[in-house]
Amino acid sequence: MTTHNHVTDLLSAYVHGHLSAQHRQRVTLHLRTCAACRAALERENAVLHDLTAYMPTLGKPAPDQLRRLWPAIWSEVRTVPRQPLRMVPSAGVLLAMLLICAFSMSALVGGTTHAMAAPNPFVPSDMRATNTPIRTDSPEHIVGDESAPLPSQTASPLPMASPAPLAVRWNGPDNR
Amino acid sequence: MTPFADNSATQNGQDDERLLPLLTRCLNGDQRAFGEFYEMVSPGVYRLAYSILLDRHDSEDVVQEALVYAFRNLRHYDPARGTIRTWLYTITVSRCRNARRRKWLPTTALSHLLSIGVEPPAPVDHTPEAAIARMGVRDALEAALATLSPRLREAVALRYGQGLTYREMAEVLDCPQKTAESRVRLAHDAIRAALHSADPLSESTLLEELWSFQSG
Repeated sequence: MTTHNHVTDLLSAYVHGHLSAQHRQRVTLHLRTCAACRAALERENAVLHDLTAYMPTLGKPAPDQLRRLWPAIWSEVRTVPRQPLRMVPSAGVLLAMLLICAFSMSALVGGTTHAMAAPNPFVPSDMRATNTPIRTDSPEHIVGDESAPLPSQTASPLPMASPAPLAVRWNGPDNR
Repeated sequence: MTPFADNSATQNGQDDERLLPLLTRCLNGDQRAFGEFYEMVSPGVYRLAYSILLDRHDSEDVVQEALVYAFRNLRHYDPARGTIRTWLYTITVSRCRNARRRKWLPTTALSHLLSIGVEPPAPVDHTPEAAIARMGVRDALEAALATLSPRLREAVALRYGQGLTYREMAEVLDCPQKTAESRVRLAHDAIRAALHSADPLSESTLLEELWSFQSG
């Protein structure tokens, strides 16, 4: 260690006792040979002394200064603090919420009813399917055959899903 | 209520042995105990607030806010988490931060925020350092404290004003103990710099280091 390696940066931690044993020993050894650092150490100790001596007296209240505050403090302590705002809906808001819920439910139920009602559209009695077997040997026979089943009634696995409102007449390839 | 006595000189000696029985009486609804409790703790709370805010009226407001909150929440104090004193100082530091924000927001000029230097620099004879040099030790120390950042001022106030240990400081400031130690050292350095604005050692050291570097 040379005298040029001053330890001024460590002196604050040194006087506060924050240094490790190794660094503390280094500073102690350096201080024996460096007058400049010893002078710096005196300044650090002077600051520490000022802080220790005067800080406890800083802001010392004047006589009766704090006693004057007591009535206001006690009055506030005795006052029941306001409760935090609770989310209690008023009667109007509650009624509106009930109406909205009822309307939503009716819309849902109505939509389901409509979907359930769809599979049973009105079909004229003369267009309803019968148990008459389909004759496939003569396309001409299908044309105008009102007893033939509707395509939707035979092909769709979910007959309620997409009913055909009108019967499709198959005229065969020659009609295209 | 008993006659008010300034117990600030003995605040560092107050401990839970004296405060806990009072706290128990307060919880049992003894109104006289509230007054005695206030007399014991308010000087320390006020000194802490003043050391941080450096303003008498703001400190009185903090005393009122902090102790009203403490009295209303006495049942929430948990002895396992720290002493009554550190609990009260935690509340006080929090209220000081709130007070500083309230005061800072409406009064800080935009030019100061942006650091655009609209106002001319102070004349040399009226710099804070020159003013400190003309003061007594206590006034100089208070002026030096005013140059610190709020966090460093909190650390000095708790360590030297209230005599807290670093562990207690860490509890109050809600930070690691090493951070509390570091803040105290930084505050020490800043106060030394304010009290001794012209540090001859720093200049001589710099020249000496430069000379050794050139000759080496």
